[in-house]
Amino acid sequence: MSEHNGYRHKHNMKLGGKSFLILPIIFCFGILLIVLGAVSATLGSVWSAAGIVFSDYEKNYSTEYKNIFVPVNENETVDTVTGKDGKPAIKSENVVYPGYGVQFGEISIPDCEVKCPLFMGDGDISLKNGAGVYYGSFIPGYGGTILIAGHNNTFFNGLKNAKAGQEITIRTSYGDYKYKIRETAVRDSLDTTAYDLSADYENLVLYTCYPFDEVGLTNKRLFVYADLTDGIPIEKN
Amino acid sequence: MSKKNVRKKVRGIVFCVLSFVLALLLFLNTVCILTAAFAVNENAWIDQMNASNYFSDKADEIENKLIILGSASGLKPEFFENFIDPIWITNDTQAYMDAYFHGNDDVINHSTFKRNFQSQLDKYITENNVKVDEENVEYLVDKAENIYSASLEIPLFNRLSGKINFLSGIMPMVIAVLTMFSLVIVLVLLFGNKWRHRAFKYYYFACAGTCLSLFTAAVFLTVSGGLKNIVLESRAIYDMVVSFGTAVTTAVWVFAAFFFIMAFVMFVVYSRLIRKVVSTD
Repeated sequence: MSEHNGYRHKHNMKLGGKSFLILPIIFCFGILLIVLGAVSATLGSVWSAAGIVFSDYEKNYSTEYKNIFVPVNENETVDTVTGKDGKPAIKSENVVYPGYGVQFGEISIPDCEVKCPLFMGDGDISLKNGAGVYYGSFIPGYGGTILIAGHNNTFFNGLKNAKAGQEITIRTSYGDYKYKIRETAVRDSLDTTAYDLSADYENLVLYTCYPFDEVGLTNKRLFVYADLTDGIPIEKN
Repeated sequence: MSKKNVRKKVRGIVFCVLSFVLALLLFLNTVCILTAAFAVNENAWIDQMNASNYFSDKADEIENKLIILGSASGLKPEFFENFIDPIWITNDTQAYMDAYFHGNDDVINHSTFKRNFQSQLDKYITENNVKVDEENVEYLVDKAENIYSASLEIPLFNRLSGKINFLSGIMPMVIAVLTMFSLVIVLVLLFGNKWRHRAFKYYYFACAGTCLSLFTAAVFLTVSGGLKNIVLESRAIYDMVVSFGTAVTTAVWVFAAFFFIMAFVMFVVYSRLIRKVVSTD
């Protein structure tokens, strides 16, 4: 027994004990509960904001693109079925629908010396490496409007020589498609009547900035309109 | 149970609650110190930008965007090669950050960029004798300016600036108040226990509780990958934000380690004191 300030007290030599482990754990839970409880009012909006700002995986900043284009050789035939109209159609399961930014074909206009890779989507990476199909339009063979963009200073510079009657070829992994230029027109970039994305027949619209070979940026676009002349449609389910 | 024992039990519970409050205050103070040192500290932002090579990465990004603009406006990629000087980006970003952290206008100053772009463009037009339309050239310069300004903007910064200003203003006061309350509890525990070893036991509980809470937070931050899955358009900003997240996570680990050492020291002091007391029993 020891005496301290006249107070007699009993001590035991047992150091630590359960409380030395359990109490800090309880404290930890308590602190986290209080902090979470305090911020719970704003937590809902924080989580929903985090859902927008965060993804399940790391963003890929690579400027490399995926290429699924394997040209169909001249002697090769693609698997077809008989469509509802009695004409042959490409089996839909044989067509790999390209994702955004994927090269899936090649476009060429021999008379204009245009020949470049064709991408799905008209983002920066696509237009830096070739021409891009507007993501809200169709791919060749689907029987709708195919709206393709390209830069006037690079891959679509040759469109300055585009004239009615010239042939445009789009090669894809599921077949080749040929179109004949119907007309060309210079329109405003915001002119939504320049093309019809709801058309129920296959037509091709190419566009690029206008005028060519001039320094400056304009609101004018050169549109090249073409109609399908050859190519097997894709089976519609 | 005798009255004396009941009083002893109540005192024990009260001191336990006080040590829990101390742990909570220490945890909150750590969070406030981290906020003051990182989120609302302009120098920390600039340090992270330097550490993640932000300024030269940003220069490359802007150059790439201008090359794409050039493809649509008659300028070859060579025109933009080494055109963007990272020094402009450093100066304009610092001015932009200064404005935010001091509650001033957040307009990005792009006058240096515009002056250089305009003179380079005039030189190119004269040297190459290219056809131009003044209106189209003006539109091109405006677009290039917009690309430069938009690239320097930090996402959500304008929305957060009010909160950043508010927090940076009150944070020193909050830290001081929390520290003062913590000191009061430390003194109450010290002078409320005639046997000093007991005070150190409660200090140990507080430090160990804080350590475990910070350890849990650090594990959560590390396992969740910090800010690696954040979706940002700019690679330079992404690298800066990830570097920022890593620095914060490291700081949380450092604080957890600090409180671990403190808890260990308190335990050692407690055990020495109790041995001393028992040996005199």
